[in-house]
Amino acid sequence: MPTRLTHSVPVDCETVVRALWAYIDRELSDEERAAVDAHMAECDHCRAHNDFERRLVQSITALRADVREPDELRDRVLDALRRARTEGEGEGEVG
Amino acid sequence: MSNTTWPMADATSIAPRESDFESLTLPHLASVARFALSLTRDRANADDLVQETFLRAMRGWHTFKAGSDPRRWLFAICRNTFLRMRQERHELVESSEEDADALPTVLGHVRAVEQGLGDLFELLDVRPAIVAAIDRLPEPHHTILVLVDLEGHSYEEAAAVLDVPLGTVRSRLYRARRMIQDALLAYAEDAGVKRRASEAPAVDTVRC
Repeated sequence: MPTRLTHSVPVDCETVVRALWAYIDRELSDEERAAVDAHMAECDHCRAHNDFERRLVQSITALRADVREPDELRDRVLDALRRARTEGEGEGEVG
Repeated sequence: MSNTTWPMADATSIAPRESDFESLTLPHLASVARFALSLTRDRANADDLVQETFLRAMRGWHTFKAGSDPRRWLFAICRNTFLRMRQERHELVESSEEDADALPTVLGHVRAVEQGLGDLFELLDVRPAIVAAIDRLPEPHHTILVLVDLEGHSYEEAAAVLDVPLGTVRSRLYRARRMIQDALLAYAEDAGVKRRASEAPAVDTVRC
């Protein structure tokens, strides 16, 4: 049974592994993060898991640079907005 | 994830200036377009969705709270517009509780190391496999992955955009990553990337 992450109580591998995504995504509290850091400093296995899964996430997030703004789409949206203003569309439902 | 404070339109009012609409929303056009494509899976429909999103945003600009995040606001409009424009098909893969945390994925890493695939990031260009795996993700996992890993939203922001609980964001995201890892390992195996198990550094099961 995984124990709660707290810096005052050494945690086991299962607890650290279960928290790994949250740790990589920086979704843990400072106390929880410190507990994982302390465990990683002493555990080669969990450090290896962290390295591998972190590389996986980095491989995915590296695709952020692929964001391209289609020029035609921008022009299309601007034209639509201008037409809507010209036609006097007022405030309404947001969606 | 961003702590940026957006410009206040008026010190005495929370209503944004109409003249700020384009300057505050259009910088996010590319991100909204990518999100729309993740929802529709079709370029033409995605462009329609983006156009409708910005029209709705303009009409509802008076409801936008100056100082809040316009990108998150646009994403929420985009999603709600998508749900209105199309009947949502229930072609979903239900997230099971086993993806509530990283354990299932880490067990995949253990198996990978046993198969000599632990060094695949050093031995392979994984980008094509990652792109293909993301494209094959079923909904709702594809949208969650786009929101968090590609658009950089926090768990909380993604939950707000999709109007789902935080736990749902976690389980769907973790399941998406596990599916991508599984696809990547299969790709590496097909590519012949294998060290003999005896050469691979030992990585035990999840136990100290």
